[in-house]
Amino acid sequence: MRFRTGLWAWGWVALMAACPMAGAAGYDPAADSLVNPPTLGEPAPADPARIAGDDVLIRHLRAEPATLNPVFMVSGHELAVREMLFDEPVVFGPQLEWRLNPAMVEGYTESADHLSGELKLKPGLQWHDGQPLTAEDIAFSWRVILDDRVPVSQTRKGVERVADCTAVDALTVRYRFAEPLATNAWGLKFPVLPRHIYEKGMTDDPTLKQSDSYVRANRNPVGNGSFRFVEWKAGDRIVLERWGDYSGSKARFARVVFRIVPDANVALMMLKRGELDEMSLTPQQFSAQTRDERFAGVGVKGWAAQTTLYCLAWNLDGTNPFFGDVRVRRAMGHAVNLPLICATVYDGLFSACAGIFPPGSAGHDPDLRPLAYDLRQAGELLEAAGWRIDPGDGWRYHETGGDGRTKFEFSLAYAQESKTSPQVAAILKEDLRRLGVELKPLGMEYTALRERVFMHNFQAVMWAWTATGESDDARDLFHSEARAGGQNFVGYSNPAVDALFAQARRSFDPKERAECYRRIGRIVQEDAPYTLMLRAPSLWAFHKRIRGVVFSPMGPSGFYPGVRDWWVPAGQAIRGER
Amino acid sequence: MAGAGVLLFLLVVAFLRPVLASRLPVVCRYQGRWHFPGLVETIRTLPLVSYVVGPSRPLGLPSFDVRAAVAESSSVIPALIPYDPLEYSSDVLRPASRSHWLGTDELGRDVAARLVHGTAVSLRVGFGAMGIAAIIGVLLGACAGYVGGWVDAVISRVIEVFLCFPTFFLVLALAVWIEEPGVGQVAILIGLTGWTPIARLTRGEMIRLRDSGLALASRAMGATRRRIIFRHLLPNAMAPVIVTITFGIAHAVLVEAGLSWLGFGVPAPNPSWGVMLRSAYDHMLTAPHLVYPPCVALFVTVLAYNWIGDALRDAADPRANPAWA
Amino acid sequence: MIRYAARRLALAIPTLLGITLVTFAVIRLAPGDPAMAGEGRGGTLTLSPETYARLSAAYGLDRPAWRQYVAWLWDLLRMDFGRSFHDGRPVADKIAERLPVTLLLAGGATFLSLSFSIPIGLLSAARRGGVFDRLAGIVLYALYSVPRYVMAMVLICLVGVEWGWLPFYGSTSEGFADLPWLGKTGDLLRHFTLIVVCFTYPLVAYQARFVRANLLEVMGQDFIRTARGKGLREWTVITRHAMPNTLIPLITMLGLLLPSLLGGSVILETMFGWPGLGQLMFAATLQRDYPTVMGLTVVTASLVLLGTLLTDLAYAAADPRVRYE
Repeated sequence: MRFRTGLWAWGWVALMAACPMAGAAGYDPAADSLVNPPTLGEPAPADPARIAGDDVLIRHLRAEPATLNPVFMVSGHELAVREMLFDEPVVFGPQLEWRLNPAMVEGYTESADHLSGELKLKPGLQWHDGQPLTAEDIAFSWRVILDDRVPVSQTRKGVERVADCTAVDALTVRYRFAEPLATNAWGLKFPVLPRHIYEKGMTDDPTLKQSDSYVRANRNPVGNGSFRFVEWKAGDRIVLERWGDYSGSKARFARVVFRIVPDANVALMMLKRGELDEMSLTPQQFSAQTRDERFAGVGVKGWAAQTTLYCLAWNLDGTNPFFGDVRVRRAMGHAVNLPLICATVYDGLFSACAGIFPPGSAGHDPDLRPLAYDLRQAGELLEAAGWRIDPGDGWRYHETGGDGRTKFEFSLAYAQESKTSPQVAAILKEDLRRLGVELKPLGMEYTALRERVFMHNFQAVMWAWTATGESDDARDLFHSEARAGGQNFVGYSNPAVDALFAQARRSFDPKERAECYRRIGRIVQEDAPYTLMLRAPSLWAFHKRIRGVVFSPMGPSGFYPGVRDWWVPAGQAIRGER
Repeated sequence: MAGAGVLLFLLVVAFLRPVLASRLPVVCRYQGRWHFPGLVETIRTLPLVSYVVGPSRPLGLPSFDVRAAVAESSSVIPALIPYDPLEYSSDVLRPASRSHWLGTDELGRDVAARLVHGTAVSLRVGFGAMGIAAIIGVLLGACAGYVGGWVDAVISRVIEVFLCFPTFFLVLALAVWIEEPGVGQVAILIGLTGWTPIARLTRGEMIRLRDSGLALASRAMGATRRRIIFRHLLPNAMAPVIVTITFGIAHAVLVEAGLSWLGFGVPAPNPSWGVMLRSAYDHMLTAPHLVYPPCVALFVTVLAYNWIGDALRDAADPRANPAWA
Repeated sequence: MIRYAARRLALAIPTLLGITLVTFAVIRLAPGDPAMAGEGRGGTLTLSPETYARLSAAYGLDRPAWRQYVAWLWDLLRMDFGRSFHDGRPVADKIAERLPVTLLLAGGATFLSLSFSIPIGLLSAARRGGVFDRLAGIVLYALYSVPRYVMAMVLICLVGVEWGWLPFYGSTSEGFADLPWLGKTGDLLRHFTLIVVCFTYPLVAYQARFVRANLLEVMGQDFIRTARGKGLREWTVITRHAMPNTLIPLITMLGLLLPSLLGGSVILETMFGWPGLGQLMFAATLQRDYPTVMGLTVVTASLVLLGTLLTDLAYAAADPRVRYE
């Protein structure tokens, strides 16, 4: 018996000893020579002879777009195609700042009372079919997006700030805003539809997606970007080619092919065989599956900070007896083993997140710290909140008037299709068990989950949120008005926060706005309606010949110039003519 | 007989899992008193017992720090695999070693412990699903085949309705329906969608036997309809059905593995062979050692069930054995 | 014979109706709806109650359920499958462009699996208990125990990436349009190899055992003893006398496999990039794309019913007793 005890004890000691070392034995992207090599971001040379003119870029889509009508294209994979086909007057800059599209727009002026603005287009703009692009197209697009009968939701967000949009003449658009807010300029950021194609059918089919002609138009788009549409083989690929009559700078690739490969493992195989030129990687792929010679022979990796953050949302609208008390919420925060989750589930590639505003945005506060992983403190907070361990069965209970008592067991909902959510739930379940709290992971199919969250019918849910360059977007998470219709489905309400958001919106002084958002960030950290966990970075793989890749906080594309600046050195093109 | 032996082994493993793989020791002397947490948990795995017998206090309580307590105990007999299947660590994706006999998975959990506990889950899914499918299928098929007439017409239509659904769609659609997925629900789902081949086969065999001499003789003896069906005809009709059922149990586990790939199987973090296969798939390129344990377990199970199936069929049909001819 | 066929066809109508009703009920009652499945999976929920109401009306969800079903049925009678909620395309188009892949996969799998399972089953039964029988059993069960997606990954890694023998994604190569007719066929076949192998190999185990079991049963019968008594060679006995009597159960077996064959495999179609009906069904279910789900159900159910009808006709042609019920 003693021998067995010894063996067992040594095994446990070895395991414990290995734990602190595991971090050191883990993957370190800074030490990987394939990550962010200097060639990846190299800007294009001034001499066009040194740039390959006719290469073909094969990009990766994780899912097939439902449509190529820009007004309905909102998910990540759809936006990748949209930005190549369609130019918009207002775009994201490399830091996700508000920016005019220099290829389309001459200039923009806002009135002194901030209630109206005027946009001047460049002359000579065209659609891919040769028709001129005028201010009427922009006014038409605004009407369509705000039309009740057109089933858009995400595109409409923010455009409601614009109360009226008219074309003064062929090159001038006048906007009128409902209120004098600092955030009004974002209302100008919406996609432009070709009026000559979409207007005529609207009386028969106001939804823009049901009649035969609209379905055909949505699948054979006429855009105004540097690439025009060639073909869409359903389930396989979408092919674009360089548009010769583009008024902006000439596209650097002769063709762009989007290949639809839903399985990440298979996509990586294809990249290693040279059949894909770029793809987004999972943490495992980034840290472990791209270290072999085959990958080193064809590819490099890109790693940059991003604004997507993962969090746990606690429903505090009173439908459950647990999370209305801030001490319980903070206790949950202390129970999340962030260092280990980051190291094992995300391979050390994600960073712990403190504060809802990402670095570089107005409300970012570098002094905020995430709650430390401390089960003892979590236990004390739970005790203080009235949740005591029952020595009979080991779980925590709370007295509820009379003879009743409630057991601390709750369900944590997440999307079943996610690979990492169940893992985080598994780790949290173990830690909470040690606290005497029973967590029931509730993996749900995505649509069913959306319905539950939409109806506020959940106790806790794992959620992700992507910040944009505009800190005011956080209002959708924290303002009491956003409880119905916004993303504040946890039911958080704090009058101080509401007042600060209102103040920030109306102020035009950047310092004052930043201070407002910082205070919001601190209050929200104290109140902890969400337990912020990790910031997801951008993890990408590229074919090694590609240059000019710059990462914005949203990834290597989705901003201006973004993909337009990618280039291949002359002589290194592998498809098409050299 | 080897098949029955293997099956018995699997059942024993499933029953004894708290003793085979757990962070709780089987026996220990803690603070001067004897405790038997492993044995208590074993008894509590039997159905309904857990309502009567509570966990061993304090070691078996969920919030109790077992490792620390055992460190200061004496006379400890640990479980054979001293890890809990849900116990994570930072030692991820390690191949087989002295401390982890089958290695660790992506959350540092011991694979051997998950295999042992997964056996219980997969056996439950397999037996449950096939049990449901067999009972429904044999009953409906036998009635339809023997009684004939409008009963046959109605039941045949019902069989066709279920048959024409691709199994996966029905499982998926129902899985979407289930609010809180669990092992039992997955088993019921797979069973409810898998009974049609059995029903059809049974019906076919019953039709064949109905007008045979066997049925005639039984009727001449004055046996009731029910007796004819169940006592005389069914045993002879079972040959092709047995093949289907014995494959069906392993098939149920494979369906569960497929559901896990799509994200709809047994809920995390419970281990099951299907869940382990999904993890193995996700990490095949960097941790191939994860593939073998569930595949070998499945292989052993398939082998065992089919040997049993063969033996049953041989026993039921004397003419199939040339020695008797 | 004609009367039998006509009667079976007439009975297929209520079956089809029943299938559509069950499908409609299941998918309609599932939580969530097309408005909720909405725009992509960005993770942000920006659905205000007004927008949700508007979207629901656009999908016709504000009408009572039975109204929606009747409307759909009425359209179907006029051969109008409606439009997909997801992208507005006619459902008939979406199905038509994927049907060839599924039929190709089903046909290829049937042909390939029978080419292996019949000889293997034959030899196993002929030399029952011998080396080949045991070895074949073990190898086939081992293959059966490996889920399709694991095998797919292994094959992609080895055959597709490491050795580069075969392409592993999509149905055509880059320069497909420029190839001559023969080259096009060759290209398609090369792309088709891996997916059809992965789709087929688990079927062989079941089919071979089935053939073996049936053959053994037939061989135990008296007329075989007679044939042997006539002095015929064992080989002739098996092939000329025993085999033809197992063909009918074989047809039945194929009929049982038809639904899963026609359902395709969403996992394999996704992994290998051969967009077939399985993937469409899966995606449509998750998106609550009711018209597409209903359309797919009708098409696959009709195909399966057709297949079973042919099976039953073959049965009836061979066995007169069946015809006169």
